[in-house]
Amino acid sequence: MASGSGAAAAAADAEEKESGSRMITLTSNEGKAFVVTEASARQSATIRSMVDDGGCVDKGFPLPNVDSKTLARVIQYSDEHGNKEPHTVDERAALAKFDRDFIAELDADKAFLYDVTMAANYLHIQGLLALTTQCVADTIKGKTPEEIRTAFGIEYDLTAQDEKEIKEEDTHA
Amino acid sequence: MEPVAKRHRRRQRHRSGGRSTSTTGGEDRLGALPDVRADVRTVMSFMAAREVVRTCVLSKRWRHLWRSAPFLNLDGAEFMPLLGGGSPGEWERMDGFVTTLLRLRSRDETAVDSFRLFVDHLGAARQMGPRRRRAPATVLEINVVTPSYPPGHYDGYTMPDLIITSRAWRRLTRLHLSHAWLDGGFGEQLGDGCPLLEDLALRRCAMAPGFRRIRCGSLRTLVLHYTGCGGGDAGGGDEEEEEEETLVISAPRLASVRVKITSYACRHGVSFDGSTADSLVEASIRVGRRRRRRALPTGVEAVLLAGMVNVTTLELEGLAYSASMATARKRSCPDTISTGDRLSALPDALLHTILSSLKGRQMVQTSVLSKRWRHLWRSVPCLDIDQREFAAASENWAISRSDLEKFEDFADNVLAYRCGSPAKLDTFRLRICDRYHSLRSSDTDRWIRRGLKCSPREFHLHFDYRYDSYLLEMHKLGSNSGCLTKLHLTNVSLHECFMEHITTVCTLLEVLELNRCSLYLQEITHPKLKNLVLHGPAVYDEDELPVGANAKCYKELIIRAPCLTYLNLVLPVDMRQISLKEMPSLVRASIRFSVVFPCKCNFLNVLFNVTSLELSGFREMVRLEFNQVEFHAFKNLRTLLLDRCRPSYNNELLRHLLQNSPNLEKLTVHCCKFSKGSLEWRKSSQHKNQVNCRKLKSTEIIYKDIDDVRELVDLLLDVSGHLPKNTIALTKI
Repeated sequence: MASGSGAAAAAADAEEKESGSRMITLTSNEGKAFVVTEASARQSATIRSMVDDGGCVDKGFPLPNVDSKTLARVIQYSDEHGNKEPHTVDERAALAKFDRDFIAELDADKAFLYDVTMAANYLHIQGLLALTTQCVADTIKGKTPEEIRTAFGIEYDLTAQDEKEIKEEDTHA
Repeated sequence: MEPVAKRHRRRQRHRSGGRSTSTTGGEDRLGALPDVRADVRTVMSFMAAREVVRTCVLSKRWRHLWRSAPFLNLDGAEFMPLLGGGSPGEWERMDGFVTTLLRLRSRDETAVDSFRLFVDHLGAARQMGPRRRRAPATVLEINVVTPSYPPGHYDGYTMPDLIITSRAWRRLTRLHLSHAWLDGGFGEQLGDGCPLLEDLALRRCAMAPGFRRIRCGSLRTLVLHYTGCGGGDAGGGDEEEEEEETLVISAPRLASVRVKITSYACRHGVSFDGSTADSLVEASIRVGRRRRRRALPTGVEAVLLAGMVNVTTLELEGLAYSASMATARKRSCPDTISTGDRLSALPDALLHTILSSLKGRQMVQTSVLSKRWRHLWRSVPCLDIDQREFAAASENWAISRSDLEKFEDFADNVLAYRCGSPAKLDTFRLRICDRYHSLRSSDTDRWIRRGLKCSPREFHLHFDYRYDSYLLEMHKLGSNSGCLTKLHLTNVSLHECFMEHITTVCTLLEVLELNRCSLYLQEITHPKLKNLVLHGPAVYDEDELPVGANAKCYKELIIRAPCLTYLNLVLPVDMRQISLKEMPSLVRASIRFSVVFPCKCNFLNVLFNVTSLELSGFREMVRLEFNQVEFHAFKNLRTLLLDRCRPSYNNELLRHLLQNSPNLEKLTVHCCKFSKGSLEWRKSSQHKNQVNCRKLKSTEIIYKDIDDVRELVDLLLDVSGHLPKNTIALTKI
């Protein structure tokens, strides 16, 4: 009896392992194919739901809104977060360090940061979206409006009327 | 012309009769129009040539008027039924009419501005065209009506070579051709032959094999309908199969283009050369596929779209979304966007997410950035009012009067605007850092009430009062708190009525986090609660004992939450014993004991279902009372973390865990100190034999000093017979 249940558990284990090691193909809008582990792909809620709905895992998933450069970077993130689950304090620290380095690199290239943000939004990768939006927010933090405009190249297009209104209504701003 | 005159008189009688019914007194209102020529001309422009000529018999006034009409609309239908193949007599009459008309017109000083010809294919074949040479026009429309041909025949009007007739074409500004056969050189010659041409429309025209390019420097609008190499829509099998090139449009001033092509008529596609791209503002592309088996070759659409960098209006129909088209679009995008500010170009939802992580003051300040940002903050789903933004950074958080006033204004204003916005508020955070209680608590009450009026799902309330905690009373939460799913409270006093409100009104509550709260209650009970975080004071301080709390009345805090799946406790809470009850669905638990102060808890009895357990700071002072209650095995426990534990002499905890966790897979021991003798029980063979962790795969021991864990390693080696799959990893930090 005990050995029977053990065998069943082993079979379940094997099945789990198999589904965990399935490979999934993601195709960028340029038609370039990226093969990732299922665990990595499941970081994206969009893909996760498609896989769970019994979607065409074999055919792969075309991502018409994501270009190759961005997709490669997104996969770099989801590989790191999907393929290893942090157990120890050190593993968590290592993952946090990865996140820091990852975002620091993105922060240097703002245009690319927005591309990654859009992709994270489209693919519903919560962790990555939080990371990128937090990065933008951090750039805004502690800056005067003038500094923010300079930092992001925002064109000042408020009319005198707008300014007056703002002054009247938002004395705190 | 005899019969013409007769018929015309009849018509005139008919007309004047008609006019008398519509006008009073039968006056010739039309002839009396002030600037006769201009107005009559306009009227005549809608009439066919024969009708216009007939007006000469109306009266003296009308006698020569027709000769100066700038429009000449020759309509074959006036002479014979079109497509019926007129009789020789009818043809002769039309021939004679046109010859006389053109002779008379060419003597006239008034130029023909517009020459329109409507004939059927036979009329066209009778060379009606060359005769118009005598009247060089600015507008030329040649519309040939054709029957549907049997395949293999194309019988349209053949456009003459432009060079030969160069004088006649010089003034041309508009050229509309339908069902015309275009020479190979036609498109190339347009530029030189018609220097003023602005409007070119080719409908169902056929291009000779050599037709590869339309070049015209002055062209503004271009219509290509079912025009292409190898015959029009109705064309048959005489197309040149070896023709492989696309039709290139080279028109640097082109502003509007309308293209309808079929996979047949224009099978190699249409493209723009580099000079065209910049001026184009309006484009409509339709690709018809019906009735045709052949698809457009790959890339045709892409080539078409690649030129449209500056278009403001774009209509596309029947285009296949192909990878190559996407590239074409991608290529054109950066030009328009990279110069601008990409942040403002992000969709609202993303900007809202970004603004969500800003504190209130900073978020509201973005309204002065630009128009795009003006009202953005009002629909951000998260509002974080934090007094620290209004406190000058100083050691003791002493806040000046003016800062206090500013903060009060801000909180009032921002809440008023946010409540007025229809956008849903998801998260409301309020943090008061005022340590000395200088803000009136009625103000704070008002802000809480207003914030909760927006029915947020998440509410964080944080006080940094130095000597007491904020008393959260029930009426302050209001009835809107029924939407709350997450409630985080820091340094807040809670009374029995709070718990009552939580269980009866906040029925959707799933996450409850209480940090350093004074709990004047005997039980935390909630039927739906999933996550509970309960943190006592990190460092115990006599001063932080709740003022006036009769701690003795509340010796024990009972937590009852049947749906709880996650529990995070930092003990001790209020120096009280914590009793956990009825938590059958608990799967993750993390319990940390304060380093300094003893506490009593009997919790192991509720943890029998957890899969993951973290115990931290477990020391000799902690008394575990296993024997008081029936002890269950941890049948689901898979991962166990012991962090900074220092078990006392012959500690029972680890023994219990190792003897009663048959499914444990991973054991992590982080910075623990097992002093000599703390695991004394390992020497007893009876206890050793009860160790049952057959599934344990990995044990990770992270230590600072090897002496701290020597006892543990010895134990694991002693019982290794009961841990068949175990691997031990030792890491020094």
